[in-house]
Amino acid sequence: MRMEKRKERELLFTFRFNKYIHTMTRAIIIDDEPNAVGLLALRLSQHCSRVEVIASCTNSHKGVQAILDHQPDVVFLDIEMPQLNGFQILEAVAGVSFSLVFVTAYDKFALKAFRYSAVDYLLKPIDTQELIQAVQRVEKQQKTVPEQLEHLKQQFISPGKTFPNRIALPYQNGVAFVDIKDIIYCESDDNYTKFHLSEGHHHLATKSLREIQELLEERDFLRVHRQYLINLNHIKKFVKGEGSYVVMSNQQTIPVSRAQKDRLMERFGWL
Amino acid sequence: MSFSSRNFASTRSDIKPDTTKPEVVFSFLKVFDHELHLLQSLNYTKTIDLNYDQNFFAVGFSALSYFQSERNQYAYQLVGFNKDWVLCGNKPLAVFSNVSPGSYQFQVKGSNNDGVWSDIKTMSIHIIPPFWQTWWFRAFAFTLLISVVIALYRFQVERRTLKARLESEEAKRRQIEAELNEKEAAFQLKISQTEMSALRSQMNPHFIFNCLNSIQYFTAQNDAEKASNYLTKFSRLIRLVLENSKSERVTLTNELETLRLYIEMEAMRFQQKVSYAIEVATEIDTDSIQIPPLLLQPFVENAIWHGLMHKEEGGTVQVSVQQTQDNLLHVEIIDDGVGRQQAAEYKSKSATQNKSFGMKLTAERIELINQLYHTKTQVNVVDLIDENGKAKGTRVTIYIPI
Repeated sequence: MRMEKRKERELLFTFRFNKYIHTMTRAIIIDDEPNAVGLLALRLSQHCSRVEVIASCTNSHKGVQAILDHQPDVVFLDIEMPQLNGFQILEAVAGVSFSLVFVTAYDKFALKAFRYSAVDYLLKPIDTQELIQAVQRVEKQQKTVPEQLEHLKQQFISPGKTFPNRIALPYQNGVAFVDIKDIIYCESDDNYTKFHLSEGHHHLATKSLREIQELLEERDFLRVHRQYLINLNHIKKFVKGEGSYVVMSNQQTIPVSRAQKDRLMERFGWL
Repeated sequence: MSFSSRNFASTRSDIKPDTTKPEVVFSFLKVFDHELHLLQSLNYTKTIDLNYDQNFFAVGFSALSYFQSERNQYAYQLVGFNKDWVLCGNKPLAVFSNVSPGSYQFQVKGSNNDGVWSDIKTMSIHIIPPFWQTWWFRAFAFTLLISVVIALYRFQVERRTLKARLESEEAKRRQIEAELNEKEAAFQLKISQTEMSALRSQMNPHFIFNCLNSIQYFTAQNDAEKASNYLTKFSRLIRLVLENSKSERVTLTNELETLRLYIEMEAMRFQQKVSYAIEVATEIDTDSIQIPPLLLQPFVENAIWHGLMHKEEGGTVQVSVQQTQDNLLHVEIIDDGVGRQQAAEYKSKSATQNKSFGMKLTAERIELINQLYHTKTQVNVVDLIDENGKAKGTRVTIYIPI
């Protein structure tokens, strides 16, 4: 187990290292507002020296053309634009593979949708640290896959009505989709999160447990312990007393911290 | 053996029995030990009436046979009370107690010393029942009882129906009241919502953060003066919007200043695309004219976002204010954008939620303002067409009573 993890990290390091040395990340910026394009280009040149902005467009049709022409590594894309909006642009360039980073001023719903689909995003005004982190993720991760975009689009078609049934989990070599009801519990592992799924499957996602918690706590999940986020629908037994714990559907015992005991009872009561 | 003075000389065998039937007479009638004095002699009285509470009485009688009268025998019967004759020896008294009301025949007979019985002497005794035992009283009481029961029942029923009716009326009244309250609340809610949306359409977070992002560009470029300049304008706009959204009316100066700042911010964001002009007729005193706040901005926003933005080269939005009549303000918002038809086409293609709080919201708000102040603010939208029949923009005219 430990060896495996170390190997994984070594591999990751090599992968990053190679990328840093050998390639520049080629970026396209599409935003209808010239200042927004200017700001992003400026910040990238100041703080992300390995990113080369090969095209920036304030016109969505030109943006589509640029993506088709240049086959970029990453596209920074605004959602709301006259003529073609962000999604229409993505549809128009469906065959091209790149990492996608949405740039948006404000949209609570959109942010949630991005997270469920593990699609990266930046908020305006641009925070330099967030930009650097996003670029780092772009550099180490694989391209945004069509499944993610489809998942994202599905959420936009019926906004605010239903929660998606599946969640996209980014891992070292790509993105996996899992059914939320199959998640038994999530375990914190440094900055990553280990997902324990039904039928004994596991998944190590490159997201912190805190990020996962933000998404799933509105979906019958509860952070019962610093280390664990559990699916309340998978609880088999709840043992109260000194050192409370729950037994999950896969027979795993999860400790419940003193602080979370009451909250669990509150939610467990109506479940 | 005894000898009577009369049969002094006779022998025992000579003595003939006395076969004369004696006569029996009543001697007194006592009620509770008090003799009853009648108008007539007791013996001539056929019927004696006694009250129900005089039912303890004694009848005294005597056989008119005086020879060896101690040997006289008596028997009596109160027919209806006694089942048979009561022999009472030589004691000429019949005592009755607690005789129920009714009609009785008191019969008595007596015998002389030789056992020859007299004829039966009869007297009717009628004990008058108390009124409550009389049939008529009972009938009356029964009727009364029945009627009382019926009356009570009816009263109860009536009371219940009345109560039910009152309750239903009360419920109806409450319902009406609740409906009224609801309507009132809905109306109030609508007012506040519309006010809120008016506020939000200018304080739209999307707009705010985009402005800040734009200003951030100037700082990133080290263009401190520009950044400072726009930051000041942006702050003024936000302050005005916050203040105005709380007022029912603001001066025209105030409203036009808000409008100008808003357009300037959009022009900052899209320098090549948005130019503007605001003209106010010289005779208008903008400081004294008051209009509802944030009324014009949505129309200008609409003109910019659905008219100018869809046009590659951008365009101009013109606002002109005139006072055609004393009490009517005439505001024209003209853009040379793509026109309503094409804008609608772009809009229908958009897959995301529309952020623009366009005409619908403003129309609702104007309707509400008209309701509230009993005014007639009107909006007139005209598609502008060039000489070749092609769309060349939109003209919105707003008539605001002042």
